[in-house]
Amino acid sequence: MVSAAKRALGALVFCWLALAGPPAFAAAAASAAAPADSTAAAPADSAAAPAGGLAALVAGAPSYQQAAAALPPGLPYLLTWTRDPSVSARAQVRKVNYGGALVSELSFRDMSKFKQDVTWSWDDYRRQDKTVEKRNGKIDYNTDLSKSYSARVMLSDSWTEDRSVNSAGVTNLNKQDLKQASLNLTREAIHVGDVENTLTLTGKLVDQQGEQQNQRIDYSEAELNGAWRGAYRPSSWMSVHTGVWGTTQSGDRTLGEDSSSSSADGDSLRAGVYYERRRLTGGFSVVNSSFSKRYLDYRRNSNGIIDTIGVQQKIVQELEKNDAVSFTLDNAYDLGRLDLTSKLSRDLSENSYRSSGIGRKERHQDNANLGAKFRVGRLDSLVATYGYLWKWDDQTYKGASLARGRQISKRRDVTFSWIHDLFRDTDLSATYKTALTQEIAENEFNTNDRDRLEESFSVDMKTVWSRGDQVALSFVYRSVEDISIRRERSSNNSIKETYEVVPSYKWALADWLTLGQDFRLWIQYTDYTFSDLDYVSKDDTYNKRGNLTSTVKINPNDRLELTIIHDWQNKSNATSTGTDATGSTFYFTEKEQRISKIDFTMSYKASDWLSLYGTTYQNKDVTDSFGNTVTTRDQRSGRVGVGGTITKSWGQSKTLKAIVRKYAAYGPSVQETSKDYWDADIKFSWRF
Amino acid sequence: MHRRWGWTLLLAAALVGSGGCFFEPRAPEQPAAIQINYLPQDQAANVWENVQKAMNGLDAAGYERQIAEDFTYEPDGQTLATYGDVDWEAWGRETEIAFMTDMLNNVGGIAADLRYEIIFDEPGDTRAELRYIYDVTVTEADGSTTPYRAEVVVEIFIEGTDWVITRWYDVSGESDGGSIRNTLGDRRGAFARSGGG
Repeated sequence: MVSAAKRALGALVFCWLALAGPPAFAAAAASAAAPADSTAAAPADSAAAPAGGLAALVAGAPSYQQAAAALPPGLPYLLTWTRDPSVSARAQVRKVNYGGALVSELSFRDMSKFKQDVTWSWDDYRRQDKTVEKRNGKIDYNTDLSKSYSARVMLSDSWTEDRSVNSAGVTNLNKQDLKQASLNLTREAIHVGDVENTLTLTGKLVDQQGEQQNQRIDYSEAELNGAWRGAYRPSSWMSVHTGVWGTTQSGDRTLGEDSSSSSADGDSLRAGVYYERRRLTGGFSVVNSSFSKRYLDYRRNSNGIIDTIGVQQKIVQELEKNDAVSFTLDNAYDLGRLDLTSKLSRDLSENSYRSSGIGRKERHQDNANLGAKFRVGRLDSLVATYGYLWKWDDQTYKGASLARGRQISKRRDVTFSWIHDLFRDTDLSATYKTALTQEIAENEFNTNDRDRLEESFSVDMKTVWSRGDQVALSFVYRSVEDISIRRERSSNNSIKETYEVVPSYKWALADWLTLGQDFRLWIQYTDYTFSDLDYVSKDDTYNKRGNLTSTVKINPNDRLELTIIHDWQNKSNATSTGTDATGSTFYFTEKEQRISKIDFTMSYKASDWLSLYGTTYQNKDVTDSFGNTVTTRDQRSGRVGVGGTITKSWGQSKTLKAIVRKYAAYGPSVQETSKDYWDADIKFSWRF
Repeated sequence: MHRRWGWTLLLAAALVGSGGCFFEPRAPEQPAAIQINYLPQDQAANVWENVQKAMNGLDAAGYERQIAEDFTYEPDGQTLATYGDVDWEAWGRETEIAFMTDMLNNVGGIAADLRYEIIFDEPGDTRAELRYIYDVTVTEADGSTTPYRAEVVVEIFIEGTDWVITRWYDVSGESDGGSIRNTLGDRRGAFARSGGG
């Protein structure tokens, strides 16, 4: 471990000396930032695809000369030093949290920065016997990031203790103390011919001590990784980006009573071509990455689950290997009234384990998204999109000669939208969407083969007047067809058709009075596809739910606001009893539920820094169940809350923000911890 | 002006009208006599019961119907410590369905008692926060068994006219006489670490 750390630091010093030549101060095009490479997951995402096309690529960062020129001469070396201590307390219905933080930041004349961050937090769960304590400390120093060469040093310590006591009184303790030190060196804008190069070198030391259920989980590792990125512009409308990244890691790991050395190495290679020529914008990229890791692990079964019961060797030396390739093609074509977009991608990976029962896993994913937007005239536009996803994974269990068989997921969807400017302040839109999702498994795992066909059609009209009044109307039709293919599962196949109508308005009757109402009606029919078979005991159903919410808001003056909300709901469930000769279906209402809730809220601004708050609601819930006899359940519930908000500042530096509320509630669904509790969010911060 | 309107409407109608023919699902097989009788999702308690039926019956479609569009999963402390590299915040409906499909497809059997112990079981009018201790034993493909027992908080709410699960929070593993068993979060973590989701 020590020798590995020395090797890593020695290599870093050597490379820093090699890199720190005279800086090239050319106003360079900024190279696209490569995503962080890691052995934690592969493949890495897109190969540094610039978000805003070529224009974003050539938007250069400020050069050292520009930054230095902005500072007047004769300044002291230490420019600013801010300290920002804060304490906070939050009480919610689920947990209570206390926290404290101290952030200090120093900036220097040479544009370097030093930041120190110390935080502490304590969570106490109110409904469980559980506490979580966290202590974090971080020191971060970086040289002037606008220079073509820069360095960053970071030291951090993250300590966590998660303690929960289960219903039998047994404590489950998880502790973790993670210490990290890293040094990152970057040299940008190295010009070799027409190619602009960037080199990055990072060294890292990680030391973790952890405990889970009285088992030690420790590791101590050193890591060294380096990256090269190159950018070349063969013409004004095209750029080519490439990059290579490599890493090596070594150290020791302890799992329970066993200790062993660990190591990892990985690399990735990426290349991309991006263009922006007249009406065409886009790019193509490819990323190839791989890693191998050697570490101690518990013995695992074919699903990756720890499987140590009844085996002699519970801990094994694992070797994990991963290879991944991804391709992405992204295009946008502007043809005036017609915009065409496309994004195509393919991701392939293979993951293998020497000891785990997982064995080897292969994955494949194809993705396509096509879009077209057509502006028909001044008032209309049409949008069409098509999405396609096809992915599968296959597994060859450890020791098996044949693969398990592919588990395939397939999805296709199409959307059409029409947007029309109906008249002044009023838009009308209609959308049709359909999607087919399929789960298909090969060989013996196909009892869950299933399709899901979704269709929806919606029409929305909305008018918003300049003074804020608004009227809206929506209609939605949705159909979901669940189809299990195999006979073992197909008895539950059904088609659910839902109709939803939502009219609403908001009307400011006067400066001090606003009235609003939202009505929402759902009607849902569920038809079981095989309910006509004698041996399938499924009855078609009909469910209806109506919801009317009325809101009155009164502002008698600038300080006082009163809000009254009445919510009324009616819900009924019915089951099909038969069909007559004309094809009409009869339903028997089994249950009817009526809920009426009135909610009153008041807020009063007593002064510039103090607001008072009060709220209460009463709820009545009556359910009639119809059978041989009618049974009625009548439930009442309510809540009252009072409190206030303080926002107080002393000069520019000290701030107190506090929201404190006390609630009391009753009703059958109110848990013990919700009957009488404080809800608070208090934070005091001081910056100097 | 009128001509443009006409073309727009005609095009929209043609696209919408032809929409139903875009995708054709596969034809299902006639059902077998043995079936899983799910309860109607017209009350919160039925949803948790249906989850149990789906797990015991290894039926991924039945499980999928109980899961809300905005589903979230929150792991217990031990799972968080063991699988700290998993992006739990991003664990939504799609990942949950992929996890459950993979699990139900790749095990020999499941014996689930999701109401092993009831801590709080009283739903509200449109939202419910229910608390149970579940006991699940998974028979793996190789015949070995993996036991799970944990305290869970499930939040169930009414989406349209059906109740569905919107949050699954594994609080902590529970004891089996001696040792503390894992939560099902451990299985989710193993699935995510091996590249699933």
